[in-house]
Amino acid sequence: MESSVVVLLAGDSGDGIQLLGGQMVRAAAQSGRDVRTLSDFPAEIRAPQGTVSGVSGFQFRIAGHAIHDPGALADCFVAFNAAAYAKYAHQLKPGGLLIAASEGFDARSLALAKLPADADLLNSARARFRVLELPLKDLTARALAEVSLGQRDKMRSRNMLVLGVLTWMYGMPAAVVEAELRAVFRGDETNLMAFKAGLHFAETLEVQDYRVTLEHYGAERGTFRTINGSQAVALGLAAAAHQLGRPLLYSSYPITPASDILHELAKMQPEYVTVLQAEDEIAAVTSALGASFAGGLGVTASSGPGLSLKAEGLGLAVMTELPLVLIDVQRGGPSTGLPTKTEQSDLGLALHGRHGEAPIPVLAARTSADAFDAVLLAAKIAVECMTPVILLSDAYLAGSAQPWRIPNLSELPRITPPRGTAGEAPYARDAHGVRPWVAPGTPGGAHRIGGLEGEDGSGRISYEPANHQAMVRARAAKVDAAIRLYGPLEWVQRCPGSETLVLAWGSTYGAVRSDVERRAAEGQMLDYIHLRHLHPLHAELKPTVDRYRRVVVIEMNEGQLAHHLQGLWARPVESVCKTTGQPFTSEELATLWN
Amino acid sequence: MELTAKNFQSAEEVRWCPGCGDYSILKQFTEVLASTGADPDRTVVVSGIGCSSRLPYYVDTYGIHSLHGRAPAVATGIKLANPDLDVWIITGDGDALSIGGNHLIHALRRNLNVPILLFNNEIYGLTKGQFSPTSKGGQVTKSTPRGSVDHPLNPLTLALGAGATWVARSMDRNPAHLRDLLTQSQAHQGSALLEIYQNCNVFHDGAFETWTDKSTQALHAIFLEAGKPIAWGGSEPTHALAWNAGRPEIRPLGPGFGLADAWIHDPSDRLKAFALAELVGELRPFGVLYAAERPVFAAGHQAGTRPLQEVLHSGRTWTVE
Repeated sequence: MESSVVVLLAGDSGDGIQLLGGQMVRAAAQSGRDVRTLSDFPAEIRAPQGTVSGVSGFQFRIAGHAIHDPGALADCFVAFNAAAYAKYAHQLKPGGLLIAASEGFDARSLALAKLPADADLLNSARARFRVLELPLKDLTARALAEVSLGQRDKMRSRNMLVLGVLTWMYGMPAAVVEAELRAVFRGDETNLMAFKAGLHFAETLEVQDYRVTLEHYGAERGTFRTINGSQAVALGLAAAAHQLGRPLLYSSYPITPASDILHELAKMQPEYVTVLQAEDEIAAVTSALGASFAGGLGVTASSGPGLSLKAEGLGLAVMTELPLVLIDVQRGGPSTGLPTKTEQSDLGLALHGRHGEAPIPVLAARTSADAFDAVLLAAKIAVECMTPVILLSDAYLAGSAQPWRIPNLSELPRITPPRGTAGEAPYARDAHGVRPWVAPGTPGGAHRIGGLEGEDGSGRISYEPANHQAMVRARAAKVDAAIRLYGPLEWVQRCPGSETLVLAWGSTYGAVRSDVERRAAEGQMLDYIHLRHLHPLHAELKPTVDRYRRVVVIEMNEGQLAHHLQGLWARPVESVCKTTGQPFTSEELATLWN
Repeated sequence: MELTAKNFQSAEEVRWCPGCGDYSILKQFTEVLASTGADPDRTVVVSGIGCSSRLPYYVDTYGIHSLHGRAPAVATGIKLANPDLDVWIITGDGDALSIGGNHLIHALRRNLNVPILLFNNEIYGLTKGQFSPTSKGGQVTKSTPRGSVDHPLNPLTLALGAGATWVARSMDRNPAHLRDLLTQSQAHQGSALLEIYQNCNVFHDGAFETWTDKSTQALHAIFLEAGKPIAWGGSEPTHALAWNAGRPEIRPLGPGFGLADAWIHDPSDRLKAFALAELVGELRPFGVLYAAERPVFAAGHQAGTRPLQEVLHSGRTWTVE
């Protein structure tokens, strides 16, 4: 019995790879296994068919125990064509199973993939892998012989035939998948027929040799769904609006990979939530801020270049001391960079990228599901501290799916707005340095705020040197006081006598955790803290770090957190980093440091 | 208690240059707030950056002095969060037409239910005298010592082109006209773009004298009134416009061409509004060029209604007992 299996699906971006992967994940999750996924798709909507640049990939890992990352090398690789094979063959384990769609390796496919006409890929693959050739086109055509559709339309169901094969191979509950497909394709039997054909083919023919039995995972009780990072953010915002009980304006401009949050919220229509597709990134942040001035919660999201454009708006949010949540779904940069690939390289911009002295809280989500809690916490800090907050996510989390237990409403954190009745000066501060939030419409509360420096307390325009100094420090102190809303320091692993501390943040969590757990099992004593908060840092972090001889910071950039911490702490830290557009794998981490 | 203009003046010291046209606009604005029975608790004045955009500080209502050019976006968020608020946008030619051009056209096309008061002085004042998008060709400014080579932008045709539902022009020097237009802009359901000729006596003095000075006004300024002939020249008009084969034609009034023959102003006619807006020479129209009805923005952007519990459980779920 296997404890974990990694499957990589790849084909043309028109082959329905992501849909196929998504169904496998849902089936696995519902069969009581833990699942993690990794999508890899081209930036072009329809890249030329059959070419390497048009290859879409989807990796998932299914396990009979709790897992934290989608794995590195695949146990099984389903290649729909030669281009997919050429792109990903190196990611299949030696001796792993290659399932190849025969028709995707014909002369035409080789030509499209720019491979030599005499390249006998499958034959040479046999030297390294176990190869199962599937005449996918013929099988699909046969399964759909009775259906009155053109050949081209029928071939769209090839992915469902593969779903049938994989469902059987990995012992997924076929009835569950069938019910799912009925729901997805409402009344269209074609895909269902292809699925069943795949299932029967696998059951009755040679595929038996490849069957893998996976352990079942004693998952917690409750109601579950699968969730990716974009869905988690959208649901978290719906929850934040509910907990606040005030209008929430989600205003954003289309940008990959942040747009899916916009789509999800627009589709969900949660109470209190209004969705605006703004005319540009600047309008997105400033309209959100307008909503906050009016007593609601303004939320905006973007990715790299969009975050740059929002910097001006963040400055105004700092100055007017209004709540605002900005979700940055990081991607490879700078500029358009790698718009569909992942990176953590906006950290420096999030921490420092504003004009003037403008500190704001910055936090990061560690998993897709965690983005739900992270966005709720971001909203809570924004409202309760009257400050803009940046929540960092990334392309990997946005598209990565996992099972998620739906929380009860009673488990959600309270979000308590500061006092909002007239009578106090606009910039009067409470014990935590927080000013009142008096929304227009409040009787007797008329006041003016703006981008000009305001007098301490009254908020009236002031150019007094001492006042500016005092206000700069008051704003910073208010942000520093956000730590009162933090949970405990995020220890992931503590080993007796460890002199080395690993620090990581954001979506590297799964890979780093798998890596440090393996190292500990092999006798390398390591402690690991996965930072939720990048600014202000957790109060216990510095004293904790001081106890270690060695600090290793792991991140998907060229050392931005490491540089930041060295500056803050005046002590050396070791930086383990990469910027390939791909998330770390734990196997890779094992080779990157000792 | 009925409020007076004084009740709408804040305690902040007004800091425009002595003689600036903004003083008159501020005065008429507070008077209109009083005369229209504005509720200071529900009134929000939103501005961008520039001399004009200091206005919210001087008005005792809710106000936000935002970012250069961004007032329409800020106002959009305010209206979405609370559509019941009476929101005003205060902007200038640089703020609205240069750095904020995108926000302006989108607020207009969406028909955001807000009056937009565009103080046009054809110069950057707060940054001390550079040419603006409405500066005339050849205008000598600090940044164009040999004269501007840029073609000026026409705020009214821009607004009409962007789909504005109410487009008008007034001037700082004609308080009664300005009050009337401010009142109408507030009453309009949708985006109301009011261009206000405003004299910057420091960097571009006399820019609009042709139309604002009593001695020349009668010959050059047309004061439009719906349903009335488009005529000018004093209390007894001397000239009128005729609509001739799709073009405006200037005709002296006399035995062969009387007021009854003139073009009767119909603010619902968008094509003719363009023709009026295109009068950018010595003869210029004031008043409401165009007024139309279209659903206002916020109506189509309401908050969702699905309870959180239902949203969290939407899609396909499964239960582990």
